[in-house]
This record gives sequence, structure tokens and C-alpha cells, in this order.
Amino acid sequence: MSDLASLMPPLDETNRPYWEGLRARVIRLPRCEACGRFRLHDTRYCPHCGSDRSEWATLSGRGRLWARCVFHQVYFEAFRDRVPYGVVIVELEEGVRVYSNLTGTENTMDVPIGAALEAEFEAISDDATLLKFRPA
Amino acid sequence: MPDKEISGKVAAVGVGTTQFGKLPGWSAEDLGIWALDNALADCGLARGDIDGLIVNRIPDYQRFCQMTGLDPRFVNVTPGQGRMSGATIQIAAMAIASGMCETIALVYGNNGRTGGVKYGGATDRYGATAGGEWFPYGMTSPGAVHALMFDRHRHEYGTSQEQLAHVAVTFREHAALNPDAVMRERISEADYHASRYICEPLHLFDYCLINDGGVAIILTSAERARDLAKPPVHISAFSQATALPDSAFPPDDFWREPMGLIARDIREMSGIGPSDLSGTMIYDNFSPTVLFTLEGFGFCDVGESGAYVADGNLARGAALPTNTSGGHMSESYMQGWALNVEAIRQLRHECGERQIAGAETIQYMCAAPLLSAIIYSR
Repeated sequence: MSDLASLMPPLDETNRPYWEGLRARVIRLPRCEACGRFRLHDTRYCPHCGSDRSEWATLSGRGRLWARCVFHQVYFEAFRDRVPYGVVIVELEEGVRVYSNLTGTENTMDVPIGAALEAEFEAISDDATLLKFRPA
Repeated sequence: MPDKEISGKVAAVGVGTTQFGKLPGWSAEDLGIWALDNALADCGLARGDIDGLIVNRIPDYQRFCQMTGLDPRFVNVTPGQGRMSGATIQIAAMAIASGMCETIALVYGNNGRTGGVKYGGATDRYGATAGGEWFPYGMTSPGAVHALMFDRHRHEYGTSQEQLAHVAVTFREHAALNPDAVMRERISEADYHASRYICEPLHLFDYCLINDGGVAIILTSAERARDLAKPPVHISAFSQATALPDSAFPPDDFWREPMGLIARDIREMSGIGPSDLSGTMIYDNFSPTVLFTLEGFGFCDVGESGAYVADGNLARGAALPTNTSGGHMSESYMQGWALNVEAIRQLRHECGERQIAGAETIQYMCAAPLLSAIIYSR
């Protein structure tokens, strides 16, 4: 299972708190200090109000399924023995969307769009943990 | 919106294409030169008449001028992404309309098939953020983003895979009449559904065909265009818009808002609306893009694109003949360039068996994080 870790992004000050949060089994993302809304960590300014002031804060881990697909094509060596595998977009209740995988289901397409989901944390190495979701 | 005064001031006078397919030994520059030679022969101009050059997917304009002896006043290079073809034609039209130069060669060369280009994986930024935060989940590729968008579209509007199949089947029907198309064997709806998934819900036939090839288009002022070998095809309107900030994820509105801006611009610039067109060329990197484009540019109501294509409207001889060359999924993925050439050839009535009878105006459209449209008129 360690081969997935080879696909981890390099960590720097913009993404380290996010990935260290997942390792500690919490979802942490920047929350705008001006308007209070969460955003992904790869944007410098709040997409809602434009402020550059943010603090790392914890999200609930609850969300809804927004869209699904199932990869049959191999784009990464680490996934060669994993196809077909599902990839989904989850809309967290705080409004942020993430790409993820579903657990607890044989076929991603069996879970309907809009289904309530809960976060699960899956360690892929000693250093890296992924944010996955299971039907609530 | 571009100044209305520009409408009709710039014309496409020469087009050239290479063979499309697997062409080992040909560099991007070689393919571009092959296409450029054909475009020059098409309009009767010489290399010395070219005072503007924009290369696309050919990495280095300087090297290209060293190889060809082209000596332009105006030069540029645009990123080798399909969304850039329409935008690059617009840059050229603005440069000519402003008087910066008179005759521009747009030269595209792509040796991606021989080079083993694959859209997806660690070097692909589509559907990726920052350093690739989603790669460990297996997320990558523009095809997957479009698969997710189609999944969302069918959830919101009840669009079906049966409806989507009509896009690929219709365009293949067109390609069967195009001697330059790479895939000319007709496919049935059953063939479509039996084909393997690449990224479910999208099948093999929903994906464009990566090939080697080159395309060149020569644009000049309307005045200069009058004396050349072929009847000029005028650029009646063009506009562009973007949806970039959150573009690692599919847009909520299937790009309808930026398409609406462009649609309003080009209608105002030219007085030409959807019902006036003889046909359209739609950037079809993946078949769902065709659905989103039809809705965004107002060819059908929001959510109705599935029924619109299933009713056969895109076929040659129907209400809105579209991608008469076969497009990216059957002719070849020349990243929008060959679709613009097809628009020009249709308006010159050079398309033989696949000719749209009496074609007068054709609209090119590209829906992507950078969106564009161009209306061409005879």
C-alpha cells in the first residue's frame, strides 16, 4: 500500500497543516478571518470576499456526494492493480469541495449523488493519510 | 466586446492541413511547415508576404523563423492547449484589425501521438491543484473532469447515456464522408455502449483521438483578401471569456455564464444569432462538452441538450449541422485548429460529399476554462 505515498505532493507551508491534520485524523483548512468561510489551501485570497487573512480551522467531516466517476484507464503505476476505482467530488457541509474515494461500497456508482457522507482517514504510509468518505 | 467596426475586416484566405495519424519522424515544426506550405499554396501567397506569425504547440517561434525564413513584424507563441486555438485566431484578428500587421500565418504542429502524449498522470494539471493534492486518490485527467461533469448533468437534468451516444455516432457518420478523417468506420449506438469505459460514465468513443498532424490558417485584411486565389471567409464576430479561479473542479453551471457573455457579444457584433447559422463547429475534446456548449450558447434550453442531440439535430442536413469533418473524436484531435479549417472550407463550399448545402455562416465554439467563439461568414 505504500506505493500510493509516492503520489503525495511535496509539503510546504501552504499545504503542510492540511496533510498534518489528516495524519492526526482531523480536517483542517484555511477559514477566512473576514467572512468566516472555509476554502482550499491552494488559494491566496478568499474566493468569497477577497481577504488574504485566514486561520487554520477544523471541519466537521460531514458532506454530500456531488459527482462520481470510475477510472478504468491507468494513469499512475500505483493504480495499475487498483482499476477500476471510483473517484468522487464531495461537498463538505462547510461549502468546500474535495476529490476523494468512497469506502464501504463495492461500486462507487451505487451511491447516489446527494448521499450524506462521513469522513474516514486512511493511512497510506507512516507519514501520509488520505481523506476518504463512507455513506453516513 | 470587440469593437463592431472589426466585424468583417479580417478574412481567412488560406488553409492547410497535413495528413493526420501516426507520422513518426515528423517534428512539430515539420508538421507545421507541411501545413503552412499547403496554406500558402491555397491562397497563392509566398512566405515573404507573411508579416505576422503565431505558432501553437510549436515551442519556439524563433527556431521556426530560422527554419522557414519567415521574417514577421508581429510574432507570438501561445500555450499548446486546445482551448488556445480560438483565442489565438482572435489575437491574430485583433493584430490585423489594429494595423500591427496585414497577413498572419497561424501555424500548429503536434507530434503528440508519436511522442506518446497522454492527458492524465503526474504531469497533467487538469483536475489538479497546487502540487497534485488529488493524485493519491487517483484523480487526474481532463477526461475524468468531463466524466464527473456528465454525471452531474444527468443527475440535475436526467440526461442519459443513450442521449449522449448520439454525439459520437453522429460525428462518426460525418467522418465517414471525410477522406482526411482518421476514423471513418461508422459506429452504431450498440457499438458505442459496448465500447470499453475509459472513465465511467465515459466510453472510448466519448474521447478525442490523439494524433500527429499540422494545421495552418492564413488571415489577412478584407482589402488584401479580395485579390487572392480563393473566396475570402470573413470573421464576423469573436469573443472570449474565462472560468479559471476554481477550475481544478468542474464548474457548477457547466460554463453557462461565460458562454452567455460570449453569445451576447458575438450576436451584438455581427447581428448573427443561433437561428441564422448554417452550422457549427464545437470543440469536442469529450462528447459531454458538446452538450454543455449547446446549452451555454443558447441552441437549446438548459438541461435539454440530451434530447436535442438525440433528436438528430447535429447531423448533416438537420437543423444544426455540427462537426461535419468528424471533429476531434473521429477526424483527429487537432485541438480546435482543424475545426476552424472545416468551418472555412465549408463556407468556400469545398467539402464534397459532406458539404452543408448553401453554407453562409458557421460558428466555432470552445467550452473550457478559457472559452471562445468565432463566427465565420462567406
